[in-house]
Amino acid sequence: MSFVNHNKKEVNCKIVYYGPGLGGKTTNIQYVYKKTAGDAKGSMIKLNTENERTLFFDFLPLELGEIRGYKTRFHLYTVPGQVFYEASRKLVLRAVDGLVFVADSQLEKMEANIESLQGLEKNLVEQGYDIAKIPLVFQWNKRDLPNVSAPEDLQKKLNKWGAPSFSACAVNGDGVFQTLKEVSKLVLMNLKGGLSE
Amino acid sequence: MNVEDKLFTKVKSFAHQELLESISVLAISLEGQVLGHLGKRIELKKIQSMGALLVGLWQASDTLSDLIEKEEDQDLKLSFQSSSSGYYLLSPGPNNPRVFWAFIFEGALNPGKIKVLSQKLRDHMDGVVYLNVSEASAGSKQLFNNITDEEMDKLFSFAEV
Repeated sequence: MSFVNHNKKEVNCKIVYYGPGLGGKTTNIQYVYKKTAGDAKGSMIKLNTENERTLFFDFLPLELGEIRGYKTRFHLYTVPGQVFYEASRKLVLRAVDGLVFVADSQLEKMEANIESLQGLEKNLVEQGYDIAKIPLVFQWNKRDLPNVSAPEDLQKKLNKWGAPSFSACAVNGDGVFQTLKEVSKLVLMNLKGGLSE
Repeated sequence: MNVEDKLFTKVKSFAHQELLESISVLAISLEGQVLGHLGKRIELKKIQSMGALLVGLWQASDTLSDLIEKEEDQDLKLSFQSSSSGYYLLSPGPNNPRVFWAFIFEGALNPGKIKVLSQKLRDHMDGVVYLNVSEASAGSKQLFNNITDEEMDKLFSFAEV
């Protein structure tokens, strides 16, 4: 959950990248890290297995600058995509302010996308959230591959809430910042007046 | 007085200079955001990442402990240390139920002493330093209305794309 400190004129928000295994969640925040100027980013943390799969979470703190006099700080997290890391996904979702669902566009990954999205809905309900009320953006990733579903199909099968969606190819950065910018905007516009220190 | 000043005043009243130089103190929200810190040994750039990792560790340990029998309402501690360096994480005190206290030490001659001091400091600071980090109430009005694309472009001007 976001915090607003009126004394310090500062807002802190948490965005989680969710989706099936090998869908490109880590690649998204790695690209953001790579393209972010030194002063605006902190240390990126990756808690990986030996073969570079996310074990617990990836983390990237970003200081975006000011909006209407408020300094904005965003914490980007990814969840581990592999099915058996459900307990870790639940922990990372705690206190989330905004979500990016990174779907793998490949035809054969549709089932994995649906399963992951159902898991997300269930995990949010367990923590008292309603997916329809939380800032959410879909990203149709891996558009550069040959065997992909049409965006309309992905939209129809996954995005029943009519949330904003973007086509992307995270490995070369296409759509990465558009997605982040959109979810950040939704999160900021969803912020309620907070309490100060 | 900001959080750092409050922390510094309290820590100074408890510990002598030599000890102060070997420890850093972090006040971290349940969500992993560092609310205040003290000590020069940690690079500023790393502080937010440390907060996320420390709270992640705490949450994982807490979830793990739910799988075994534990008494409720225990004053839990989490530590990872060698004979002279490490960290020590304490559960929130009653006055700041959303704040963890982390004590990071390096080159300490007597880590046992730091553990005792950490607990004392947490209890003392909890009684004196009130960190109001309650979430914004659902009913309160929105902070920003109608953010424009231009404002978002400006916010993202840090990106080298």
